[in-house]
Amino acid sequence: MNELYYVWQGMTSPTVLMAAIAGVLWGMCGGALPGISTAIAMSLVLPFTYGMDPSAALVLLGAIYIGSEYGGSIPAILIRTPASGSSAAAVIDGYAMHRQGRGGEALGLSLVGGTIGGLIGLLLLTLSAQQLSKVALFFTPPAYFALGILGISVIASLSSGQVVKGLIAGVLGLMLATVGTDPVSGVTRYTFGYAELLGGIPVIVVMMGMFAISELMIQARERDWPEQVTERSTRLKLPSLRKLWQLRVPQFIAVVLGLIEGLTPGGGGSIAAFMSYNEAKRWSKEPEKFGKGSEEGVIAPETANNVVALTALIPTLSFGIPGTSTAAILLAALLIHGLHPGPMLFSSHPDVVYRLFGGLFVANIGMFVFGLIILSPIIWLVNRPRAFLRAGIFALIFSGIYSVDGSEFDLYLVLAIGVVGYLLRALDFPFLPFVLAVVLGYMIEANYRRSLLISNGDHLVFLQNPISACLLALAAIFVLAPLYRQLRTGRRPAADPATTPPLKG
Amino acid sequence: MKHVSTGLAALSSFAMLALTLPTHAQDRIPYPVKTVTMVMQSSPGSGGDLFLREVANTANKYLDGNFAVENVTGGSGAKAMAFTNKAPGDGSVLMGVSPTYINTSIISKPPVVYGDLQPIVRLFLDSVIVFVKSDSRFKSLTDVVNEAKKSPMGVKVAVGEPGGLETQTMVELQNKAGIKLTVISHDGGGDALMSVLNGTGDLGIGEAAELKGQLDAGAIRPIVTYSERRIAGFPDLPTAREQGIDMVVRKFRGIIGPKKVTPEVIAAWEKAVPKMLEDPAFKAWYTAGSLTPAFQPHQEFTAFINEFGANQKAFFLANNIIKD
Repeated sequence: MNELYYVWQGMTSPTVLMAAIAGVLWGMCGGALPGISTAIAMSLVLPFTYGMDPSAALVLLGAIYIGSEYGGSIPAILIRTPASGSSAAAVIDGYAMHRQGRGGEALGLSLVGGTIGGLIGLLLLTLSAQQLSKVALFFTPPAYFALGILGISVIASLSSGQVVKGLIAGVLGLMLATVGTDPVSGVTRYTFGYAELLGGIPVIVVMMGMFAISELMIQARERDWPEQVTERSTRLKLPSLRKLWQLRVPQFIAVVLGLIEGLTPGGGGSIAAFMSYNEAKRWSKEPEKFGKGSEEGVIAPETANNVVALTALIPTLSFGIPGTSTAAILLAALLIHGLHPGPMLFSSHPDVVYRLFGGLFVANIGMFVFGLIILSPIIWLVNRPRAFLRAGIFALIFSGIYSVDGSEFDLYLVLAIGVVGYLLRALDFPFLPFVLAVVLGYMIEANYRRSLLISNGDHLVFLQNPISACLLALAAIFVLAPLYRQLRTGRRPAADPATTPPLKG
Repeated sequence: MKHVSTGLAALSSFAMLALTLPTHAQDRIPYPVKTVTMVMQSSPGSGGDLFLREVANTANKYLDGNFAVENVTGGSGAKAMAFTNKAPGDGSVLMGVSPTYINTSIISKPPVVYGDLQPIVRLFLDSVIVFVKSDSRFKSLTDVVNEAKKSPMGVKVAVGEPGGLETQTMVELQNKAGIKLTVISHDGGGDALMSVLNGTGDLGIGEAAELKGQLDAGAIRPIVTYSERRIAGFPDLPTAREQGIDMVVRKFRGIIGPKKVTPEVIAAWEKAVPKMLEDPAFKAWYTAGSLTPAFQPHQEFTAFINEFGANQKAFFLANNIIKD
């Protein structure tokens, strides 16, 4: 019962409350600015936490985390510029909705979905962190590999009607994911002597290039496009309870995948967001709407990344192993305050842990309230004339990318990827398989090779591990079922416009 | 977005102001610049990151400047080296290092290598500990060696980043003991620890500070340390030499800068580090993390790095890890 008392303390103590509110506000601003990633927003504040009470310090950082997961969706939906990898999946349908004049609805879905995801994640964290942490132990290299394959198996359905083009895009993405230092031997690959490429191509650079730069290029060649949107000004619109009930399936999928990704180190928000987008489409009654402004396509990734923000704390607190790079900063803060994460943390410092949970509850509610308040001025900004906005977006992308690593090279890289994105779209290639392959490529490759090391080269290792065998079987069913249906009916589905956004508005 | 950026600018200037408030400015050692970025090549929360954050924190007390850590990750240190190399020599950009930056220079051959940068001071030698899951059949390094002799490649070792000092330690062990192990590299020490906890790896290798949580909880058990002598905090843990394998791993932690770093900056650090090592809070921190204070001024540290680099290169050549 002491735990509940500490949770209550976390929700009511003035210093913790202040920390939660300040954190959410700063996190939303940081998250909304491309390049000020969650990790950067948190590290900027880290020095201030040295002198703070440990509970308040952790709540401050945790609240930034929560706030920025939501903040990232604002530019993703309104200007097609994902501020972080985990908000990139929301671009696809969120921006499509915005172009139909339903941007306010998309923002409302994202805010409510994020709040629900956050609260469920927090509930799972508070009630079962110690028990759930054991799940992380089941994820061995073969299981990670199979999880990646399941994610990538969706390429077949993402590119229905043009499977060959989809596969080509997927393979291009996988190739891009091999740039950098080899995950097993440490040898460099495809770096052409550039130190900047040794760490691989950052996912955020790929996202911004693929989504934002290619979009700016397409807009730039059409003079009449801007007026169409500015006429319909955007207003925030929250979904009704009935709508939320209708969207329960994608939300449920998002919670489950968010939980798995949060628990397993190395997963992270972007993988969870993309996988829930994929699965939501796979299980949807109206998959044809995906990519054309599907509400399910917005709420699924937006719920998932907020679930991850909370459940990633489970391995962080109970093993000292952060599930995401942002959880790593929270880990640093724990250590700075002399608290060693591990199975003992819950028994040795229950006060700090449960006060943190209480504070994060306040932060989640705060996110909803501030979301309502700050969205209107932001929407006003986005409704300004396109010409100004476009220049602003360009500056934002550049300053954002530069601030990630202070590297001029990344600016050329984002432009180059923008050109690739433009070409893919111009040649009618589905580009989602490309993005998905970049996100999952490293996880698949590294764990494939680790698995083979463990088994001395025996591929049976993937079938002997129960988790990986199940996941691989599932992937096989998902790939083969539509083919089987096609063979039986002898019908070829038409090209799916969901994955190939039209070039003209 | 303009409002947001103005707010951001205001907030960051507030941050700078708060950081610049000197506590006892008159007692602090003069330093040529006011704001100093300490570059760390690994991600926040890693052993190296924690080391550098604590150093920056303590440096704020003893040096007249504001020291803040920035993580420039990627390429096992190659990006951070390139970043540091571009900086002016006024002491405004320094980098916290461990042997990784030398290994990366030799194995990956990035455009900026360790020889392009200037060693400033060495602070510590870090513990390198081999651990097993608490219910493991291995009780000592001798057990591991015996088992590996019986079944070559049968014992699986989880190590951190590929090409790191941990990998090298295991290669050296194989050579010295005449055994064959399966070495599985991960994305970092944390992942390697997880691998041991879930039974993928039979043993893992890491630093005491990273492992503390699991050691305290009794989930893992140390079986050997590769230090010169037994380390603080683990009086019962025998060294490799005590177990019949003549091996010492010198995982140093120090600070370097760009090639043209001024003598003034070097002198300030040489003066500050001995004082910092005596600081009670800092001392409590490094003792708890089983770090051995091993201060070396600029000249000695430079000689140490050159010798270390030459040895590493010879080792990698001898083991066919590099070709020339």
